[in-house]
Amino acid sequence: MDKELENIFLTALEKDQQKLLRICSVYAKDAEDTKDLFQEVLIHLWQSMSSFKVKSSIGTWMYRITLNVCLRFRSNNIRKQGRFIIKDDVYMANIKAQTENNAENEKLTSLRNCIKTLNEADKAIIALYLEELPYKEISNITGLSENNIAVKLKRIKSKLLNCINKTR
Amino acid sequence: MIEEELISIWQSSNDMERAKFEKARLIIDLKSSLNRIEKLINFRDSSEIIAAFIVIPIFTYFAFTIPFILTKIGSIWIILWVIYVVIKLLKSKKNKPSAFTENYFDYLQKTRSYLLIQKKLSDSMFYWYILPFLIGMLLFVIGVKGVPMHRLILTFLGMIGLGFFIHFLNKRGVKKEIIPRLNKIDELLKIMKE
Repeated sequence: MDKELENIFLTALEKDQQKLLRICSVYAKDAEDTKDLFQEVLIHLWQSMSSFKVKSSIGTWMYRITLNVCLRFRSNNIRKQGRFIIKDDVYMANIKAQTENNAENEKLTSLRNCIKTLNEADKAIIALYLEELPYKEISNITGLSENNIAVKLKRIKSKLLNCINKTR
Repeated sequence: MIEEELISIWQSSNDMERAKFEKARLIIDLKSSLNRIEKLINFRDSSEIIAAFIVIPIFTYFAFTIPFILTKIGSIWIILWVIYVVIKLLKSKKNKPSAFTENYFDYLQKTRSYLLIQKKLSDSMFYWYILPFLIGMLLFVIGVKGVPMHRLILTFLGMIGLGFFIHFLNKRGVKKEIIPRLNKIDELLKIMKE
């Protein structure tokens, strides 16, 4: 990989890693699974970097890979694979289990749990929406039309709000 | 709860510690990134290729040295069959979704097509794998003269047993590995198209 691509990758990762982590978190069972899934995403991002075209949006490209990896891999499977990662290259500092010690965290836990009850396609759409991506970008990432996304989001938001209200 | 509040709650979850990406080179074992089904498919294909390297020289030798016509035909048949099998298996991998860079919908559809090809391949295995193999072996065995009949029959029955065992393993593989994945993908695609 050339230096330019490497820099683009590292900068984008620094900027978007929290977003990618949040997306992984809705596909994972717990904090440990999120860590495994995110590692898998990092590896696939790194591997696919050579196919990235500098002129296109690295954000969209990263989200695509993240969602496809989340869809394909189950964190349990990743653990079973016993992937060998050189610790100095990529390591995840401890991703803390969320501590529900205040109202904000309770709301967050409730929101996450409700998102987890959605099907995997809806999870993807709502996660991208909550990251405040425009419909056009969500459409590029998911392959659905903008209209379709708008309709789906309406349904998903209503489901989410129902779920959150029930858990209160 | 209003939408802005949802967004703000969602984005408040950045108390996770940051992932470190320190070195420029990530050393990974590519093979370990394959999931179970790919490992099974790769195992099947490499076994066939190794088998081809063993079978072709042996049966070429038989074809030249054994004087009986039917055995010669059987040997050539087996060689052609092995080559056909290897080509067919390698061809079936062409549709494998190669990267995760497709959009979600396209990725699902490509994965679905790939799994359908693998399923079709396994479903029709009796006709392109087991039957030609048994025909070749039958020609080979009945062509051989001077070997007691009961030994020939036993050898052929062994081959039939092996053929059915392979057939059973494939059916099991389709049922346990391919169909559940296809169902899941179909369900997702259906939801996305709604």
